[in-house]
Amino acid sequence: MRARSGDDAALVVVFSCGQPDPAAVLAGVDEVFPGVPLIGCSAQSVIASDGLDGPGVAVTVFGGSGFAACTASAPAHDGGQRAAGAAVAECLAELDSDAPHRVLMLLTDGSLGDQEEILAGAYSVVGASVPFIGGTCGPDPALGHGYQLHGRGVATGSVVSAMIASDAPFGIGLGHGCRKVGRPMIVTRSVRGEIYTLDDEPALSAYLGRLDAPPEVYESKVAFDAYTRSRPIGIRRRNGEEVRHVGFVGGPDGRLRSSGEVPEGGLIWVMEGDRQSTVDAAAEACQAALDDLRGYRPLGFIAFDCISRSRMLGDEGTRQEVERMVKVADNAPLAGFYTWGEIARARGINGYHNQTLAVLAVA
Amino acid sequence: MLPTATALATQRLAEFLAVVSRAPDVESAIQVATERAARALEAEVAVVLDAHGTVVSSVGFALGRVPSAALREVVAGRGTAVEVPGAGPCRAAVTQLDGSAPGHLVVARSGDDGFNVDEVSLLRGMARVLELTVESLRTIEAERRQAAENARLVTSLRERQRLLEQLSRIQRAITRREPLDRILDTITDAAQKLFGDEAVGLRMFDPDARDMLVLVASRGLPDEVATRLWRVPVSDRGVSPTAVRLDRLVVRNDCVEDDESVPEPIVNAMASPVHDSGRVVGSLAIGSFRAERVYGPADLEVLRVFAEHVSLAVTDANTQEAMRQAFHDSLTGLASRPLFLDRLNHALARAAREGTRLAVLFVDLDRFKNVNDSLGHSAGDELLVAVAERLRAAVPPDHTAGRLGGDEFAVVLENVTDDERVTEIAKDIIERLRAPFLLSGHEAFVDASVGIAFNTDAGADGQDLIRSADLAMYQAKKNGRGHYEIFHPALRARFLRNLELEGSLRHAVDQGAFVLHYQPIVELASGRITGVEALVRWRHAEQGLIHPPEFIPLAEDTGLILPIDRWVLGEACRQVGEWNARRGGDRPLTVSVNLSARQLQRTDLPEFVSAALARTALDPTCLIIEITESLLLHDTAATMDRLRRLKALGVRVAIDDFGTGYSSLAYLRQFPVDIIKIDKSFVSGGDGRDAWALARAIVQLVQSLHLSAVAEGIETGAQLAELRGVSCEYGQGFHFAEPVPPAQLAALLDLDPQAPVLRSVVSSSPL
Repeated sequence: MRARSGDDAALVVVFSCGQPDPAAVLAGVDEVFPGVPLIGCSAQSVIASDGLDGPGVAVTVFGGSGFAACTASAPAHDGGQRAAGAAVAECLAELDSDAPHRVLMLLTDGSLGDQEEILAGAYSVVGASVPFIGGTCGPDPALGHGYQLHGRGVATGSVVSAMIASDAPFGIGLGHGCRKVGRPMIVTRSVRGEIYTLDDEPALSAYLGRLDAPPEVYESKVAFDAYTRSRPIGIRRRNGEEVRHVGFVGGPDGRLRSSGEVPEGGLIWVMEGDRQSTVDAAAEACQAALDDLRGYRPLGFIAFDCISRSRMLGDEGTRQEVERMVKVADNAPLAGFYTWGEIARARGINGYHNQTLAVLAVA
Repeated sequence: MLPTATALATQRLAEFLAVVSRAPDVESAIQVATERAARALEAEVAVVLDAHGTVVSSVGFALGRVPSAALREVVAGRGTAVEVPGAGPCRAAVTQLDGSAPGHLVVARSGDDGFNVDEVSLLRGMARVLELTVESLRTIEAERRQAAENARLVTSLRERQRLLEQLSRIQRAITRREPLDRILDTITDAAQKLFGDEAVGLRMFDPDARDMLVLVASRGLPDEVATRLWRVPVSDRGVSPTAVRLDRLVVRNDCVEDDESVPEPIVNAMASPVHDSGRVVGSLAIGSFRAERVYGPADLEVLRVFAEHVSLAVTDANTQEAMRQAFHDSLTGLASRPLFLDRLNHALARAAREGTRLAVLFVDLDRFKNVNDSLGHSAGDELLVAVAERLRAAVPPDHTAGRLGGDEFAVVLENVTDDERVTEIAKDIIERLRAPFLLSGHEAFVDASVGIAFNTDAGADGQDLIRSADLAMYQAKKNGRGHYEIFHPALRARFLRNLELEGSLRHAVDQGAFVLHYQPIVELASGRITGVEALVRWRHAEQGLIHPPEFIPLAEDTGLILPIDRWVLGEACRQVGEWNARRGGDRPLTVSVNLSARQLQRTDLPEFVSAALARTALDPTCLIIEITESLLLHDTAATMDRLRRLKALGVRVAIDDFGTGYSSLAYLRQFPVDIIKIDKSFVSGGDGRDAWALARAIVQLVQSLHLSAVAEGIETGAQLAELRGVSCEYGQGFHFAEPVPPAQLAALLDLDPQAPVLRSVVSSSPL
């Protein structure tokens, strides 16, 4: 982040949207930062502090003597999520730095299921010793599918990671801006992210019934998506609720689908947010990341913001959201992208989020 | 409501079970259990060590960096925290793993709060699930190796699924905050379904006697057996008490007792302790009547897991609270009515079996309502708590005292060999309750009346016995405050007569069998009749005229007082209106009407009075409503409002029997009253100087407040002279006239409306 160009760049992070030829993007980056380790991914929309919010390429560079990084990638097809997570975390051993602070940035392909398994694999290698940050990427609209960037190569269905070391702390903040609606429900049957029944009722009708949703929402995916964008579910955790977006599956069994695990036997709440609380949460997440720097001056922020939040906010709301983040960043650069899932683990073992904004502050 | 931490723990255990039981082999079961334990407890690290302290599985430490030595220190109890790179010092919790893969499960978490007792219970539950899973998997692996008995593999998987289902049921019952009895039933029903055995019993410590265990829920036990075994000592040799005593799982096959009174004796049984915060609080027992049902290691493992879950259920904060409330009166801590009745019924069954005698003492406070009305409900509550304390002190240990509701208490005394001992205890209770209570800075005096009923004289079940003791108490109260009475069958006959009286009273209300008598109120200076007080009489076909003290309490109890009040007010207004119409230019008479306390406390009292005035066209200024002092002290804002609305009608308000209650100068200023009626005790008992001094003071006080005074109960010329001497304005009493029927009063008025009233012009009996 101290290097716009030149020799002391340690890591380049690229978020790319609307690029039919990602290899060409990499070639362009390489002209400025030849040979510098790089990770990146596709995005449905990117975030940048100069107001860019949509198609474009956001490039963040970590540099200066205080930074060191190593990168890795691994394919995660066909049930290989855990192994991929473990493989990319093993780059920890390759990091040659005495700097005391570390963070593992993970960028994963949103077309993969069981994203939590990727985190579990990474945790099995590095344990609690390194916090996680990152996001799950959606398709680039120019290509219709997602991709991951590692070095100067482009891959799909994979996980890329960067283990970053710094002589100053990293800060992580989270926010979703949703509040609980009514009493909790028991997940009476689920298999990973497939929620079959809540309180012994088909999940779809239990969830929509709690919200007193209009009839058309039960039938149409479009109406369902529009209605539930601001109404995720929250899984009870020690430090609060872990938010999950729910998707429409259709069919006679009336189940719901979440991109993260919703444990059977667990308690969930129906959650609800509005534009204002969503925008406020963005500022709060940035502030939390900033506070986590323990007084160090921020050099920059990277935001992993759930795409469903942006859809709920609309263009104007999204612009306000970015403005609020930029304001908290106080002239420090901000980059990021709209994700399909957010990764942030600073305490405990769980770290996969949904419909949330995860912010990394770098000092 | 957000579920408690414990409810959360129960769901986490079910979640853990669901995931771990899906593991295909022992190694992955341990790995999954390790990771899931960390997830469920949101801990950074979790480790399984074998019996030698070797790490078998871990999560949360970077590869190759597991601090085995530090973990062994924690397992040995010499350390409480582990340094976790990236998370700092983490507080650890450890639980033992038994079964075929013994060792320890350790979790550690950053932060200062450590693990609470619920989380430690959850960890223990997880260890049990892991043991069970490992056991099942080993069995399955062995079976796989033999490539045989595939059907049993399926059965084993089904067993685990069934366990999960039953645990989930309990968890749901807790999370949904179902009533306590349903949660307890769910537990025993789930256990019965899980094991498919005939009998299940959940026992908990008796809250009042920690050396006894009470059967709080059961399945499959014949009623007679459940009743007989409802409460057993912890020292009993049955499996349940033994599991509690030893704090470990107990199994007895072929434990048949030589008890021919039991139709189907339990042959084989097992029991597991139930814990609250690590302390044993009860046990869950499973039993079978079938000799072929022998409990093996797999059954014990399942029971162990199930009992851990039950521990979480019964230690759930809400369940505990519900249990406490179900059994104990929340104010006094004494046994509640249901618990008291339950204990009484069991004591009766024991007494019948052993041929012993027991007594129920029904204790009722005599002036509780006064305290409540005058000092407020919180003082009333204070009083009940203090009464409970004194009652506890008066009742010998091992006997039960309970609060049946309101100001009613009861005691059951078992193994009575000497009836005098029972009456001594009754007297002791009365004496202890007679001593003053200090309530919110006021000294209050209450008396207690006690009714005693013995099982041999009064009814077969607890309810009957309480009813009989209640009747005896009622009789004691009639005999005067602070007495006891022993139930005898004649009391019941008397009670039945009362019931008949109630029937007659209802009939009387329907038939309008009431009359009003009127007692003149005289201007003392002139001797002229200026008004009358209307007094109701019941004209009974057989018993003649019945006076208010004999039927008003019954009317108040039955709600018949309202139509009686309505008639009294209407008739008094009509009658006096009629007399006033005949008086021409003479000053109209006033009429004072006593309404029941119940009527006076009704918010629609002004409308009630207004309607009566409208029906009869009596000038409202001629109507005086008499109220008691205690009414002014009850809900003062509402009373004030009611009185103001009454006054707005033009009606006047008099305070009856002034000086006998909690007389307060403040309310004379505060409330819109017009007339003070000085109680006859100041007048008739006023031979002493003090009483007259008080009467004089009251008259002066009334005058200084520009109110009118009416002296009640003037019986002699001397009393009249004294009252005239202090310029008391009005009076009434036998000296002038007793209450008389309307015709006689009319005659009296017609004789010479201007003349002084003659004494005892008629001879109806006094009130």
